[in-house]
Amino acid sequence: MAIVPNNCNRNRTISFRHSPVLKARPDKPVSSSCSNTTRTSSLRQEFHASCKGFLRFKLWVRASVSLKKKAARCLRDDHKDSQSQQVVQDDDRNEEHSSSTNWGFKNGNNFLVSSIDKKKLVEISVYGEPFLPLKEEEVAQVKSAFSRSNGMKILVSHKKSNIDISGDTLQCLMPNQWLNDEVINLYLELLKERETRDPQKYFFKCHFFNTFFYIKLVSGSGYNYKAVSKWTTKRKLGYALIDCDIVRFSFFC
Amino acid sequence: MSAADKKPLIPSSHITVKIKSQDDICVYYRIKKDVELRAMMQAYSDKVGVEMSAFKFHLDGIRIKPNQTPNELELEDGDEIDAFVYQIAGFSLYHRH
Repeated sequence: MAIVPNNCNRNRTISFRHSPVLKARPDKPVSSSCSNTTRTSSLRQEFHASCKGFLRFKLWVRASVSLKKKAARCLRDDHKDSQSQQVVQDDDRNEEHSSSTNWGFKNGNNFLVSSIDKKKLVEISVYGEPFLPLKEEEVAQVKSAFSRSNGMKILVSHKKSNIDISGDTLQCLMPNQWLNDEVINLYLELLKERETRDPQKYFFKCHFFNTFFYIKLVSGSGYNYKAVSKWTTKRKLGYALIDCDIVRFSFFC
Repeated sequence: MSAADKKPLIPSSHITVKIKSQDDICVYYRIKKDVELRAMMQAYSDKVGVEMSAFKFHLDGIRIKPNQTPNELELEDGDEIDAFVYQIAGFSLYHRH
């Protein structure tokens, strides 16, 4: 779950959950007068804020821009070594970690922790870092994607769901903007793809309805089953909806 | 007798599809199976008076693109296409003010 390894003091913007600093006091109370603790907690908050995912993408980009490219590379190598050692230790310290992370999440993002159980935490540490620092050219790509001049240009075309993401659509991920249907629908598609790609890791079978489903369902008086009866035929989905563990509805209001 | 007379008028290469807006207003179009749907979408948006890019056409929950043909989508006679408009969060908040 690392973002920036914190071996280098100068570059410590966002730190790793299992990093030595955080490991040093995994089960301390909140109200400690020690300055080290407050710093740790602020780092942790920062990390969880960045964990909010793609909505916080921009923030994360900013953090990684400040890294020197060379330093980042060598630190990453160091970090991989130290991480592989930590994985072994993590197994027995996992209990403490989950309690400490629960504490960390109290300021805001409870939903993240509740979905991550102990097993998942171990898996995350085994599979390595979900977030790697961006390289310079990637940062440039992000910048050009968010720039206003690329408004009409189609940046990504998702073939399976036929959704095109243009520069204008991406503008809704900027601060103080409202989300639109296309980014949400595309993200749901990507979640679905992730599940089919890695069925062992994501052991729940999920189905994601797109944001138009609810509108269609409540068209007419009451629930209009007829309007959506064809949406989830087995031939179309490749699986029966009743077999799914989680069915997710999302709608705009 | 009259039904039998009418049948040959619709060649098998044509199908009739229904475009349904969010207000449940239906527009019927007869289209060729091997022609891109762009023409139909353009005709629909001209009729409604909104730009074509503002609409998102869905067939049973799956987005369809203008460059697809009914053959690709396996459209059948009498199928229904939904025309949704742009959704953006906070819309109701906007209306409250």
